[in-house]
Amino acid sequence: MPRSNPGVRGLLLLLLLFHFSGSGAVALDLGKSGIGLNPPAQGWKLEEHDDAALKVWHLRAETWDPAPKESGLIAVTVTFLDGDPWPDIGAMRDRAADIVAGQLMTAVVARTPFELVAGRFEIAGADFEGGLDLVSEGNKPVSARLLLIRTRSGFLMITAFSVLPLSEKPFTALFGETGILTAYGPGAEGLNATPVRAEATEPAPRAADPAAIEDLLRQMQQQFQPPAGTGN
Amino acid sequence: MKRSLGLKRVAPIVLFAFFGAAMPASADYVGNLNPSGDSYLTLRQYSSSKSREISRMGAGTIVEVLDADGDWLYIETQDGRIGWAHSNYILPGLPDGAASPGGYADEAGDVPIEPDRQPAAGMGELVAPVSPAAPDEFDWLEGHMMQFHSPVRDATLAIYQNARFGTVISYPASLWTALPESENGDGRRFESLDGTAEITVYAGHNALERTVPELLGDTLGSGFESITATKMQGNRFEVSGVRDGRTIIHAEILDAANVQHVVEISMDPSVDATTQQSLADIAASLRVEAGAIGTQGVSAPEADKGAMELAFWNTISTSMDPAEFEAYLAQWPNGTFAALARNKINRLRSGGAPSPVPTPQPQADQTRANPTATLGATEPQTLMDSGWWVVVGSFPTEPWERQTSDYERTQATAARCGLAVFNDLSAKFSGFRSGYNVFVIGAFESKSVADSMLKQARKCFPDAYVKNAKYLGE
Repeated sequence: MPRSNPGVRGLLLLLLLFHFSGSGAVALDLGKSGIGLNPPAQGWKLEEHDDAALKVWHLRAETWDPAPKESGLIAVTVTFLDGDPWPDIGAMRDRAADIVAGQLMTAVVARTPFELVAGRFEIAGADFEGGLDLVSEGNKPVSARLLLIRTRSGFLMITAFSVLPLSEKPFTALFGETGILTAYGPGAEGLNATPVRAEATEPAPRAADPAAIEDLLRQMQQQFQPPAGTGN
Repeated sequence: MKRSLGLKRVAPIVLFAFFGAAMPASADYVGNLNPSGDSYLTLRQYSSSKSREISRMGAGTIVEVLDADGDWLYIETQDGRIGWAHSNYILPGLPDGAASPGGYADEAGDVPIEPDRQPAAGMGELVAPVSPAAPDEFDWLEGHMMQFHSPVRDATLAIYQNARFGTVISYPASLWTALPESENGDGRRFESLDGTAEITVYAGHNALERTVPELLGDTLGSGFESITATKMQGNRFEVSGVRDGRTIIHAEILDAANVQHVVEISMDPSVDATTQQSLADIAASLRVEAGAIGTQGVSAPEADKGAMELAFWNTISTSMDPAEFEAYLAQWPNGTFAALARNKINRLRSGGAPSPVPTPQPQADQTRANPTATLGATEPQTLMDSGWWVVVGSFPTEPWERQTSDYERTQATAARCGLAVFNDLSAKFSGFRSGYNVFVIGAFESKSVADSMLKQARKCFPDAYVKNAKYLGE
């Protein structure tokens, strides 16, 4: 019986491991922020930009019609800044939200800001409902989420756009264990669970402090009830 | 992020303690800050208040000015950070008390912006605003988000629309810098961030009443060393090729109001295929604000006729057989490429270089296209061998090597401007001094007609003039 070369066996084993290692997507830790980026292996285009002080990952679904399976997400952009000179994260969120509503989107009909602290993560964000000016194809209805996240080691600005309206939980696949982004360490449960999981129909992951999570979810849900007359 | 008073910050203090005497005499410092406003000066990535913030410098921060751009200075701090800051707040010399480490040392780098704040104790606590933001603190956000966070940044791109003529192009804003509008508001230029390409968009009235095929011919005759593709459909055409060693994509629309809308993209030949496609997309995006495009500019039959002529020309343009160009002239004696065809025949018949001057045929009515047709004259003028000439070029015949380039340059300019220029040695004219190679339009019986032509010619040949002379021929 012929004996295979151990080197060849090792190579085959490696290939098998690679083959069964899941989606094949490469997870990227964003510095020591406690947040990882998991670009989908297929169906998305990833562009990166970095300079002396920031790094940007821009993911865009290759096809918007039909919408990708990731809850209708069509574009996710993450800016990771190695500095954090902005003391007022809320003010920064407001300015960024103005830009999302006024320049990145069109015909914004809902704009809902929210803020929370979860462990190491200090978050200010906003949800939007409006459209994108596709020029040749007219206005495409979308929802958007803006997140500013201060960590103990880095500052992130995230925007996500989905073709689903807010009522259909368009950002369930943004954060989470299998999301495009995953948080780790203290506070990760809060970020992975909310606001994403707050809207998800799936059971929330095990949390270190279920009562705290439940309290957070309640607050988040309250935050996500748009007050009457909310708009842009 | 925590900004600790680590080695990076302390080092300059220590260094100064040892080497303070070696501080450059030309050192500058941050000062003149508004006492009731910010207590810092922002160091920015570019010379714009909208540019991204690199860091903040407190009063007394010592800097070295490396360069300047208007009101902005390119500076380096003592701890090695480089960026732009507004010159209003950079003062010459050293700050008061600079000799004392305490006088400036703590500001040698940043203002202590924000201590590392521990997040609130419990999950779910709402974050209260910490402090009001400085008014311009987030100016960089807009540029950054438009550049990187737009979900359609490569899909629908940014739109440039010329307010005066309604010319519109789409371009990826993240890759291009828009330069200011031209002074007369007829267009603008864009430079690629990597410096390999530029876009010029402009519009103007079709003063010479050129048709679309004629405009295409003008473009083809505008100095292209080679043409890789031409396309004409209705009121628009595109040409791509190489000119002056750069790859060119030229797209043009003639709208119903007789306005030419042009986008021309010039790129290094080294740009990759993907980038070239992206640039071709920009050229293809040329359009006119809705409602401005019509079909009045060129009738469909005329366009078809032009397309046929163009197709014919494309098949023979690189031919070395003069008979093919004669066949072209037989069918389109006054066609868009007639002048080019005649020149080509002359060159082929004469065997090409080094024959210094293409030999024109002396019979004016056979070789000189009637230039008054391009003037929109109601009655075409009869060209004569004697009368008033518009001289657009006059070059010494020596050294003879220059004659070919003089000829090609002048003819290219003439073709671009729709002028039919006749060329021969000045010795063959009575009234010209010999020893020159002259390029003329005419002759016209009346000086007023010649003056009218001169007016047109000066748009492309500013030194053109009118002279009375007689062509003697061979």
